Amino acid sequence: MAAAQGSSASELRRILTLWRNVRVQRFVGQTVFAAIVIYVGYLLISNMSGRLDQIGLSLFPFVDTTGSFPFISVSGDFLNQRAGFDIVETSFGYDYGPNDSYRDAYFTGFLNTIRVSGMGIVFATIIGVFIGVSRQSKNWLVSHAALAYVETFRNVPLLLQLIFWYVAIYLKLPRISNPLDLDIAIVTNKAIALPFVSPESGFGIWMIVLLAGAAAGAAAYVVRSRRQDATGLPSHPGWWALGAFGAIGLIGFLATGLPLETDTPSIANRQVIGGLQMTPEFGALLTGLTLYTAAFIAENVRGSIQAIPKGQTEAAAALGLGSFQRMRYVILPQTLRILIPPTTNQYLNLTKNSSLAFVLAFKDVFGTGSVIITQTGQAVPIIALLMITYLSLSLFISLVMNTINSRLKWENA
Amino acid sequence: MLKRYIIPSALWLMATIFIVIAACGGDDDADGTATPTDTGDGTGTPAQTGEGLLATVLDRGELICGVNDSVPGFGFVDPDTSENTGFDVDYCKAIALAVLGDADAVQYVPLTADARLPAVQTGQVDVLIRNTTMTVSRDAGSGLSFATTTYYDGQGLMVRAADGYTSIDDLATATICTLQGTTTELNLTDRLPDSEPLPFVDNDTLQAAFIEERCDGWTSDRSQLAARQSAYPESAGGPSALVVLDEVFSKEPLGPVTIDNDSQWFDIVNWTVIGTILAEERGVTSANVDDFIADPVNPEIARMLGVSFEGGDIFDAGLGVPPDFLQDVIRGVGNYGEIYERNITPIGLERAGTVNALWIEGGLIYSPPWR
Amino acid sequence: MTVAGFQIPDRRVAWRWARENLFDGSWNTALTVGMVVLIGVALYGVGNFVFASAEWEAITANRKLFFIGAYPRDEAWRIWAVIYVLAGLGGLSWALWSRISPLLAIGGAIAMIPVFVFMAHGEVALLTLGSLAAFGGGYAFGKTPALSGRYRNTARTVAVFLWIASLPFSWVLLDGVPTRLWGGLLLTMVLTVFGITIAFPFGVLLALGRASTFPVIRLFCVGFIEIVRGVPLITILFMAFFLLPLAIGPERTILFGIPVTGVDTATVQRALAGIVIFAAAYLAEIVRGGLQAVPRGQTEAAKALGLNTFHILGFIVLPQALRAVIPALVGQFISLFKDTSLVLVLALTDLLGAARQVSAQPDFIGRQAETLLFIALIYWIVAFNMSRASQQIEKNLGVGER
Repeated sequence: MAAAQGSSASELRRILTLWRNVRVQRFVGQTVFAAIVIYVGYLLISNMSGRLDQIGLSLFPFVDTTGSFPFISVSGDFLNQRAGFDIVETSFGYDYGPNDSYRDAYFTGFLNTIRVSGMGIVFATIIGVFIGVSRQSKNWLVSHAALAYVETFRNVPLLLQLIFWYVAIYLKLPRISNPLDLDIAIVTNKAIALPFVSPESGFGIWMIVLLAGAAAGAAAYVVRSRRQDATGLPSHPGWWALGAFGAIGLIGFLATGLPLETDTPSIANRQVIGGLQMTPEFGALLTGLTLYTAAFIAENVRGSIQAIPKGQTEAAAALGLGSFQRMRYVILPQTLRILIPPTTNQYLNLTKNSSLAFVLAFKDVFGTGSVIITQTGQAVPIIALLMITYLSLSLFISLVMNTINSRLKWENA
Repeated sequence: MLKRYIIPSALWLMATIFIVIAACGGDDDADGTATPTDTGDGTGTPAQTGEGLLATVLDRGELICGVNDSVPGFGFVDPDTSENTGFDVDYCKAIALAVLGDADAVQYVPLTADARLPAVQTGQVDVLIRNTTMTVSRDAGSGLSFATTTYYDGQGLMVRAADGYTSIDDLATATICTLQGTTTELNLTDRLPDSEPLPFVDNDTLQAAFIEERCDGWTSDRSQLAARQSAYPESAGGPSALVVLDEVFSKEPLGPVTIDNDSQWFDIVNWTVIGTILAEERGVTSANVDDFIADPVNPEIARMLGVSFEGGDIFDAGLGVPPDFLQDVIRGVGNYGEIYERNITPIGLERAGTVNALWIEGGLIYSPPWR
Repeated sequence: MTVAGFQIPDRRVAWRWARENLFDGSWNTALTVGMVVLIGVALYGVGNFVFASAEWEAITANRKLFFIGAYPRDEAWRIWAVIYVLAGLGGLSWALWSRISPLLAIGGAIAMIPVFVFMAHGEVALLTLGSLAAFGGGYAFGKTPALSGRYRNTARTVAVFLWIASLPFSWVLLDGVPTRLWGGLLLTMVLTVFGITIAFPFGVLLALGRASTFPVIRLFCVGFIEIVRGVPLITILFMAFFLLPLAIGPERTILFGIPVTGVDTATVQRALAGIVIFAAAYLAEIVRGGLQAVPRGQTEAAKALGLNTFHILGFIVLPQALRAVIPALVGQFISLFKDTSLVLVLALTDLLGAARQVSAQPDFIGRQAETLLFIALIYWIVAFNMSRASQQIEKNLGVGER
């Protein structure tokens, strides 16, 4: 202090130069920004918790401030309570009943989301590529029909399409009192059922044999593709893999004493029983998601085909390849690199859009979450949980697609 | 990477958080559950000191009431006039009359079954009157308070007459449509554990599915079933195509809901309801209320209407609204019996002989003393 | 003679066109025949429904509900006033900026929808024609010699300010009726237009923040953008619906120790808040694309001229970046226009909500197909024309050609 008094002018200059120092500016600027963000966040959160406290709820029911580190109480939280509501439609054989906990209910919804998104992604890709390729067709009718498809489906809200599929199409299927019975399949608005197989004794052993078959198929694929790379002769690794898997599977099937039984659907007591069933709710959701997303994927496909230089098609034609072969072996493989990033976005959209199931009586993770909110009153943690769930799903899809993309780039390099 | 960027930024972030927390430390309590209402000047102190919903509603000059918009008789939007009508809506009007003296000073917020309880918790609505069942977990665990029951309901099951179901047990494995997020959804799995519930978010999609025979039964409060039956479209066979099965398999006391810890507001809502019941018990109607104001025939009527009895002092119970608030209520919407007659009788639910009759006539509608 | 819009001079040419495009080889011929059958069946199905089995009375009896919801008829002049002001401004802008004309033409086309639907109502048709007159008036005014010549740039600046001012003006005017009564196409349009315009400045800020050299700011912006883009709109709407009133609800907000009267938000405002949060994140990504399209040399040249950061952004980078992304912005508008239908979950009566209300009316119960198809057509007209307009603008601006 005493020393500074004597040289206030130089002190001032020092502060001024400090202030003009870019690094100091950056530090101060960012600290002020962060302080404001944190303060506003603190303000909002404390407002919320203050209000919830007044009515005896907690903003962070998972956080036990009286307990010890890490302050998270999983054992005592509300998600362990008995749910009490039933979810009829479950996925992947997951067993859920009203006596299970909210946590199980949430997980059931999560699996349902995964099932509908997974199937939607597969079907939307197939239809999208088909429509996108049709858009490039030389046949005027085909290309314009594809155009009409794209413009119709992508310019109408998905929610509207879902409701339309449900109330105007799926609910109008034959009623259970007057079913459309095709001997092998049953079509009613309670369920569309196809014959399926159900496991019998020996099924477990056969599954193990099948795993072994898959391993053998993979090995065959590797061996044959190495041969192809080494010799340049067409070695059909895919067919070899399929053959190995099929042969081992068939032998195992016979050896374990035919462990599958055909399960033909039938109607009893006004319910469709047996077989492979699809409810109209799931059907409407899947149809709507698939057709909507396919329109966008088709546009991506068209764009990436157009990005391939015309010379490629001409060169392929000069080699004597037909139009199908040109598409399959020359154009489509090249489009993949351009196609994958925008298609990833569409996969993400489809997954997020599956939350629109709430308008149909299909319990996805969002629908289940909103029931839990009503039954427990815990809006804040459930909304947070839902966001984390969807973020993780999005991250997972991005990760998978990025991996595929970088593999492709690497292989083509 | 880790050394150059992540560790310094983490340290820096922690330091910033520390500074911010230190800066805000003044209004932090020890346990970390800081509420902004703890600031020194005490302006934000909630509810108890007259800063609660009553003050908010008076300031706003309008009551925000959560209602149903698709149950005829209880809460319904008349398609011709776009007006909200129904039993529950009349109770919204009664509360608006009690607090603001104006039956039209109500903002109706239509709520789905899912959104109704959070709407009260978050203060989106001042009061929720939307076929809401009182249960212990909603009352205790969800930050809500239930006022006097306005309608004693029970869950029933409605089927198409042509299907030939005669008792609820016939539907043990049937598909049953219900509304998502209701107590009826839970009661159904208790009563018919092997049935397949199909929970919809709204009554209209549910009805579309039911008409198309997607489900065999429709379960809900019997009042709602009656309302839906009375409005069942002729194209699907009209009301006579439906049967509500006899068995009632749950208790559904329906009443207004307010937020917890605002006892003043709760009392106003509660005693407005009680006032309409007492008025019926004492024979005070919208037609004759002015006669009673001029000449209250007994002390209780005088206390209730906030008028002097034979020159004595005017009774003020201390609700925070003028002592004569029930005058406006009765003049505006009538007593309990009138509200019932106007809304519920037309959908085919007779009152006499049911639990919703006055206690002096063998029902459960009862008012505590007004003194 | 025309075939589907293609000018075909005579029969021989038509035959050649058909042979080249439809019957080029046996495979193509088979395809054509297959498609003809398929299209025929589809057209028959749709035609049969539209002209024979459908009962369109559900639509004609509920015109008001579809367009303005529960907005009182007596107060409908407020909506007309807004339409007139916007139409006049649109006409003026068309005259001043010929290159964005497609967008304005679409605005006109949307305004024409009521004419077709309200044919029976002479008054409404008249008022709609009036709005066309307002548009023409604005155009004529913009084409006056003074405005198209000497004062053109001033006029453009004034027009931009008028557009900005027209938004709060519209809101205040419409707000004469409580927001809970807003509905139908009106609500859908309000949520979309206000959603995207309020979100726009936030989107630009987020994009700039993401491109910032300040790691903390970048971290915040990246976090915000990626979180919002990673979750469904419906969860954000839920959040806005449930948490917003808790966070900023009445009488409990405290700012730096000073109690502030909180905001008492109705459902429409909450839905709008959710839409703004959602749109801001997506707009940020679009603007970021535009920022990346501006060559580095531009910034460096500006720096060399001695401009400071704000001037570089405001006068050099942003104008170029935003110009490049106009088509993408229109695309976002379309997608938001469709996405606003999710406010159904908050029990708001937008266009989709109106359709559901109609099909729940006792007279029209079970008429979902008609009502849904009708509003699908409205959504489609708006979205399709907007996307066509954006393609046209893309051409006019020469984006991607430089």
